[in-house]
Order: sequence, then structure tokens, then C-alpha cells
Amino acid sequence: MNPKLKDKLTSYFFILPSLVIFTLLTIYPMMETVRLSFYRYYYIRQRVWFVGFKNYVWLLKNDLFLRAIFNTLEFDFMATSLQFLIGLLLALIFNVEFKLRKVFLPFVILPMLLPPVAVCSVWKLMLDYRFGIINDVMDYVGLPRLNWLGDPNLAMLSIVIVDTWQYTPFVFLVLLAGLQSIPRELYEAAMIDGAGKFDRFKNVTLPLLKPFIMVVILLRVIDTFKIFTKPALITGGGPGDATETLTLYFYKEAFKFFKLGIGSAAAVIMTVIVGVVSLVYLLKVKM
Amino acid sequence: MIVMGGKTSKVEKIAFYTVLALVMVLVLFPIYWMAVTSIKTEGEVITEVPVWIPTVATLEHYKEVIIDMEFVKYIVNTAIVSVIAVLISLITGAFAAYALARLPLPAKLASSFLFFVLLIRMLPSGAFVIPLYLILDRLNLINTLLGLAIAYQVYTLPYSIWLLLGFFRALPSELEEAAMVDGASRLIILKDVVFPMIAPGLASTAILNFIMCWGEYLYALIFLSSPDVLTVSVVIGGFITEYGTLWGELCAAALLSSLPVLAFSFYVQKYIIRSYMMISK
Amino acid sequence: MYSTRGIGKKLSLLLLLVMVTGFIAPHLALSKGPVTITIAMAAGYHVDALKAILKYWEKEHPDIKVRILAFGYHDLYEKIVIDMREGRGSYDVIEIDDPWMPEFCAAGWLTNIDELAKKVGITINYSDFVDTALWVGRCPYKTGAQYALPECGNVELMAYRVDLFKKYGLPCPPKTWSEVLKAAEIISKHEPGIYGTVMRGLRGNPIVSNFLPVFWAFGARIIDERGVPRVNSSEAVEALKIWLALAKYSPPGMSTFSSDQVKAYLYEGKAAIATEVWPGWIGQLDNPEVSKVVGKVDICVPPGEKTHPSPMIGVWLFGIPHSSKHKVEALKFVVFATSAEMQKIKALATGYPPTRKSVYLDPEVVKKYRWYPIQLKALMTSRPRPRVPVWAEIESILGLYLSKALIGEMSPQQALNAANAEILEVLKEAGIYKGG
Repeated sequence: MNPKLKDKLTSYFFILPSLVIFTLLTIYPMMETVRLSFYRYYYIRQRVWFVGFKNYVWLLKNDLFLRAIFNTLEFDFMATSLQFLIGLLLALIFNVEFKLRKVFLPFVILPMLLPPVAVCSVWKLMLDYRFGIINDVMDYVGLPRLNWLGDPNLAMLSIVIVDTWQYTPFVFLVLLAGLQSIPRELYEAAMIDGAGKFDRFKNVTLPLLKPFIMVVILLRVIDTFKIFTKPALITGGGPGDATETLTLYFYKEAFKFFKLGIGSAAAVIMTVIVGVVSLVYLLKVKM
Repeated sequence: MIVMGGKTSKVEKIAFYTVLALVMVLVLFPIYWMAVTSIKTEGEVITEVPVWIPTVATLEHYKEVIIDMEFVKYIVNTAIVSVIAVLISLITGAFAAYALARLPLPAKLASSFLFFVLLIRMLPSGAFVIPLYLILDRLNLINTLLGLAIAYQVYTLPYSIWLLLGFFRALPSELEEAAMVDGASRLIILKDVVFPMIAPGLASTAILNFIMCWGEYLYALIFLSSPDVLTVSVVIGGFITEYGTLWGELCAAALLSSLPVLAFSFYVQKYIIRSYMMISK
Repeated sequence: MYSTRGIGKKLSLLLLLVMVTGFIAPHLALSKGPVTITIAMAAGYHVDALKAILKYWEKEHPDIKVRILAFGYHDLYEKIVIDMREGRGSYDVIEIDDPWMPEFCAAGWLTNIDELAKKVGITINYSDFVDTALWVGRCPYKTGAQYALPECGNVELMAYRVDLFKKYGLPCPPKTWSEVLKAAEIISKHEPGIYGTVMRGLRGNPIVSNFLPVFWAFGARIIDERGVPRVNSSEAVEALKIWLALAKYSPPGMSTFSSDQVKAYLYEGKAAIATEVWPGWIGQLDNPEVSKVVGKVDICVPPGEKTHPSPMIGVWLFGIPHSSKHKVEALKFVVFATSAEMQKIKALATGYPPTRKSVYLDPEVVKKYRWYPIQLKALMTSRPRPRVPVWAEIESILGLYLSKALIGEMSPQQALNAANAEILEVLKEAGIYKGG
């Protein structure tokens, strides 16, 4: 057989399994989700009927859903910014050669390896109003005890703190990888030119780190958007609707009440929002 | 890497180490707290005055979790799901990534395929879950470990292709070409030349996917139901919502569920860092 | 090309292997030996109580093995619903929370127990059961045939510090919610370190369950006879106002409280009144090992206000799905587990609330739990949540808006108006709304 043709055939063979899996597990479900979103579908009672755009109208008039959109975007923004800033600081620290660096490094990334439910368990204990160590420390330093999970103004912040604790190491690792790819000669050249520390950071580090920053922020924007486990287990979406997020809302409609049509419409809206957010981000950064 | 040279002032040095120390405390304290809570007696957990270091260590909570909750069973379930999911995505992903990196796929197909991979990575995974649920339901795979492992491909396969593509591209192609000249077939080349060289890439991809599957909660919650097949995340999740304040048991279970990933993180540190260098390429 | 096929073969072999283990593993347990019936039930004290009688069952029926599957509350609902809807028959006995009954009845998923018992010649002594508990197991409610047997006689009660009430000359027990509020005010003012009340404020089922007895005592209703929601009536708003006033005397963080916190404050003696307690929470109040208030807490029927007291019923029942493959064995087990003899053993061992009058009045049982006659009275006068199949959704809506009123995001009137509007929509869509 002609070796070129053979290679071509082989390549089809190689991507075929992935293609099948994608079609079955994502492309078809995506299309099916859009289709279902035009039906009222009560899974338990097995009642299905076509309603056109009614599910969308219903959702966009539903206060809790709108609040979930707002909360999700708020969480996304706060968590991503916080994780980026702290992650960058950490990366700069660990880009310095110091004693014990190799010993500390593995420990810093531990949080991101833990199962999120384990993280929720211990943070729920630490944030507890009465028995939480955080309020004990607040007492100790003379600050008032705070109702971290019960105060609607603090509950979302608490979730942000927990997520930041867990996923800043991810940002840190990507940025550290970026910093280490910057050749040392560039800094030395800048030093000979008499550039100060801040100038070096602005003129050498930042431009070269930019592609890494872009990717890591995009990934965090996308992943924080899916937030489910932490509000589900730490606050249950409450108090009131203070920590209700889109995935939480979706889960409740689809798998608690088994209203699959409305759930599907919520999923479509969710997908559109995350698409728009990432698109805006990509366009902005390109400029 | 920057070396702290003689020029660094003492103040700077002190500031640097203070920040470093603070960071280490903030990062490690919750893990420490999880560990000590799991061995504290009930009285020392629930107390108005915090007990930083327990006066007596008890294994009572572990006994409760391992014997009464049969926690080992759930760890085994989680391991089975994770291993199957990782294997499926590693095998299919490696072939696909290799084809994209090396083989003459039509440009349009290759780029649209890659686009899809990135798209799926970006979309909220929850969004696909209703039809996925209906499909697995029809195949009688709901409430089975295999079904969950298949569902996990939504997460793991795009990730694998994406990571492995970076590794394949970073690999010089001379060796393969030399082997081609010798008349070896693609599969022989893959087996004898490419896979051995890409082994670190395969390992880090497997590890990252394993960590993801091990801690996954939403899909596991939706797809699993009978106690025989639950994963650790679902069990602990149920525990938090049902018996909120049995902190000792909760922390023991949380720590047990963390051990497998923690234990192996020490060995694979460098692989993970390497794959993050790949992500950004 | 032969080598490509080789890999394909290996791959498919691997996949086959994986699939075969996946398919076979779940069926292994069901292969041979004596009949095994599978019971799906709520984790925690339900399972503990059932385990206490298993040895008697094994002695009586060595040929019928019992396998208990324990789930969390929401998981249990989801699992049994899907199983029955698909007719899979994974469970032979299911434990049902009473608000689920209308839905299960409407779907026709349960076995008619009267019919089955007649067919196989088993007689069930119904007269000893508490009526209100039996009613929720009938389809339709109260008047229909028996589709499930009550096994856990849960009813909402109130707990208060009788020592403190006597100290300040307060009526024991309080007869109205206004008296409760007054007591909370007085005690929290004069007793440093003791909160006037402790209540469940967690969004969802906890806050709704805590609120309903007050709501009903004011004569408010959730849904009227024509399926019209009435949660924003003037009585309802008044009830919410007094409930919020009571909540002011609760410890900080109440909006996250569930049963654990209520128990903790009660047992530590840090709260004067727990407006809502369930039998399962109070069993250890007189046990000095875990309680700091031995003999100081009295249990009473929650008070009335504009109308007579209305404790909420929260009975659990055993039902047999149509899809079960061992219905007769399942029935034998259900009858056994709900018998007076076994209920007494469960009550003595774990404080599990009975559903039979004779057990409540049994001297041995009353000696251990002094409030059992009161609990029986509460159960006999108890009131069920609305008998509609969409209760879960209604509870979720009500729970959200009560939580918003509790944290001060909405006024009582606003919150109840919003809840009423959303409940109306749910009722219309479910075809229950018949008003104009």
C-alpha cells in the first residue's frame, strides 16, 4: 500500500475512538440539551410537551435564577482576581533561589490535590460561628466574631476564600512555569542597563509572562464558573439566595425536581454566558 | 531563577521570609486542622476554647469511619472509577494527540477537531449531563462504576488530548523518521520509540486526570445511587449535609479520602509542574 | 495493516473485560441461597433502630435475609423514585417520608397492602395504630386503601426549660406562641449566657418545618380546597412576624442552623426553648453522660394561638414497590417491623418513636421516656403537610423566601407574596389549581 495513504488511514484510525466518545458524550448531548430546552419535561411523571421559548422566558423572569447568574459572575470575578494576585505573588517568591525552596514547593501545591469535599469538610468546621478556629483567632486578636456562613454579606466571600485556598496553587504553578522559562540573561542585561527591580518586573517579567497569565486566567474564569461543590456543601446556596450559583440551580431543577426541560434551558443559558465571558476576555486581552 | 545575592538588604530578607512563613502557615494549617480534629476526642473538638494540640489522641473516629461506615469500600470504588476513566482517556487520547501532532490529517479536520477539544474543555460540564444521564440510563449504566468512568470522559479526554499534544509537539521527530526509514510500521514506532520517550507526559496526564476523577462530586452525585457503588466524594458530601457536626468523623473521612492523592503527590511533583509548562504552550 | 488490527483487538478485549466486570459485579449479590429482601431507608437513627430488631427477625424467618441500604434524605427520594419509575425492582421495601405519599400514590407505584395481605392471608391489626399516622399511608389521604404502614411516629414537639419557666413564674407549658415569645424575652433578659430560643433557620426543609406549627396556629393555610395558595394571607403574615420575633432570641448564625445546632444548644443548657424538636432528638435529654439539663427540660405539644395547637406530623412509612420481586416476603417484614412488640424494642433501644398507641402507653416505655403520653397526644392532634404531589417544590420555594425574611432581605409581607406567586405557578402547572 502507498505509505502516504497508509499514514492517512492510520491517522483516521487514531482519532476515531476520541471522535466517537466526543460525539456520544458531548456533541450529541449538547444538541439534545438544546432540543430538550424547548420542552416541559417532567421526568418523574413522564409528561413531556413542547413549549417553545417558554422555559427561557420562565427562567429569565425567575428571581432565583437571575440571582444565581449574578452570584456566579460575582464569585467568578472575585475568586479569579484573588487567586491570580496571590498566585503571582507566590510564583515570584518561589522564583527566588532560597534555602529549603525544594522542600517547601511540594507542600504549597497540596491544597489543589485534595478532593473538594475534603476541603469543604475542614473549612466548614473552621468557619463555624461557635466552634470555628477562625472566629477563635478573631477573638484572640481583638476582632469581632463574624458569622461567616450565616451572614448574607459574608457567605459568598467565605466560599471565595475556600476556593482561593484550594486553587491558588494551580495559578501559582502555571505562573512559576512561566517565570522559569524566562532566560536569566534578560534580567542581567536589564540590570546592566541600570533598571530597578520594579522596572525589571514591568519590562522583562510581565511581557514574557503574559501568555501564561492569559491562559491561567482564562482557565480560572472557566472553572470558577462551574462552582458547585463548595456552595452545595458549605452553605447549601443560603442564607436566602446569597450563595446560589448557576450549577447549584441547575442541579436542583434537573435532579431534585426532575424538571429536565427547564434544567436544559438553564444549561443552555449557562453555556451561552460562559461563552460570552470567555470571548469578551479573549478579545480584550488581544487588544 | 533569581538568586538572592549579596545585594539583597537585610530588611528585604526578613520581609521575604516573613511572607514565606505566613504563606506556609496559611496553606498548611487547614490540612493540619483536618488531621488533628480527626484524632481529637469529642470534647476537644466542640469547645469554646480552641485546642491547638490535642492532649490525647484517639482513633475512635477512624474506627467509626472504617468499620461502621465501611469507608474502605468507597475508597476502592473511587479507585476503580478513576483508574478506568484514566485508562480510557489515556489510550484514546494518546492516539488522537499523536495523529494530530504527527500524521497527515486533513488540515480542516485537524483544526476543527482541536477546536472541539478546546470547546468541550471550556463549556460547563454540568450542561451536558441531562442527555448523558438519559443515554446511560438507556444503556443500564446508571449507578455503575463503569458508567461513571465513561461519563468522566467529558472531563478527562479533552484534557488528555490537550496535554499530550503539547508533549508530542515538544518531542523531536528525527528518531521516528529514522525508524520509518528502517521500514518500521507506525505502531511499532509508537510502541518502541514514541511512547517510551513520552512516558513522563503520559504519567503526568494520568496523574492530573486521576486527581480530577478522584475528587469529582457533581457527576458522581448524579450518576450513582446505591451504597455499593458510591465514591468517597458522595459519601462525605452526604455526611456533611446529614450529620453536619460530627466533626471528628467527618475530618477522619476527609483525611482518608485525601491520602491516596497526597501520598502520590510527593513522587510526582515534577511531572505536574512539567505538564503545566505544557498547558501554556 | 495487521498491526493496527492487533491493537484494536487488545483494546476491545480490554473494553470487553471492563464492561463484563461492570455488568456482572452488581448482580453477584443476588445469585443464590435464601431469598434476600432489600430495604431502602434513611440513614442514621432509622437504620440503628431497625438493626435492633434484626436478630428477632432472623430467628423467626431464617429463610428471608434482609439487606439494608441506607441513604441520605434527598438521595433516598431520588433513588426510590427512579427505581420505581423504571420498574427495576431493586428495592422490596422502601421507607417513605409522608409528604412523598401523594406523589407515589398518583404514580401508582406502590402495592395495595390491604389487597396483598388478604391474598396471602395475613391479618393486620389496624386499630392499635394512631389514626393520623395511618391516614397519611392511604391513597387517597385518610379515606383510601392502605398503601404503606407507618413505622416511625415522628411528630413535632416543643422543649422548654421547666426550671427557668418556674423560676420566673411563667405558664408551664406555654399555651400560645405569644406566651412563648414573652418567656423568651424574660429569660434571655435575666439569664446571662442563655438564649431565649433555638430554632432551625437553614434554608429548605428545616426552616419550613420550624415555621409551619406557628403558621398553622394562626389559622393560616398553605393551599385551600380549590388548590389556591394562601401563604400570604394576613394570618400568615402575622405568624411570620411572631416567628421572626422568636428568631431574634436565637443564637447568632441561626440562618445556618439545622438539627445538630438545636440539639447542641438544648443539651448544653444554653437555650431556654427549642420551639421545634423531634422525638429522635430528645431521647438522651435525661442521660447525664451527654446532657447538662437532666430533668430540667419538659416536652410539650407546640402551642396554639388563634386556633388550637397544630403540631406537624412527620411520619415515616414502609411501602412495597410494585416492581418488587419478593412482595410477600416484603409484606411479612413490614408487618413484623411495625408490630407492637418490635416497636417497643425499637423504642427502648434507641428512642425510636412508635406509631402504635399501646407502645406509647406501655409502662416500661413511659418509665424511660416520661414525655411519651404527651407525644401520643401531639401525634393524635397532628396535622400533615398539604397532600399534593408537588410538595417538594412548594417547600423549596417557601424555604427560600422564609430564609430571605429571616436574614432581613425581605419584609414578611414581601417574602410571603413572592412565595405565594411562585407556588401558584407550580400548582397551575401541576393541574391542582382550580380557583379563579
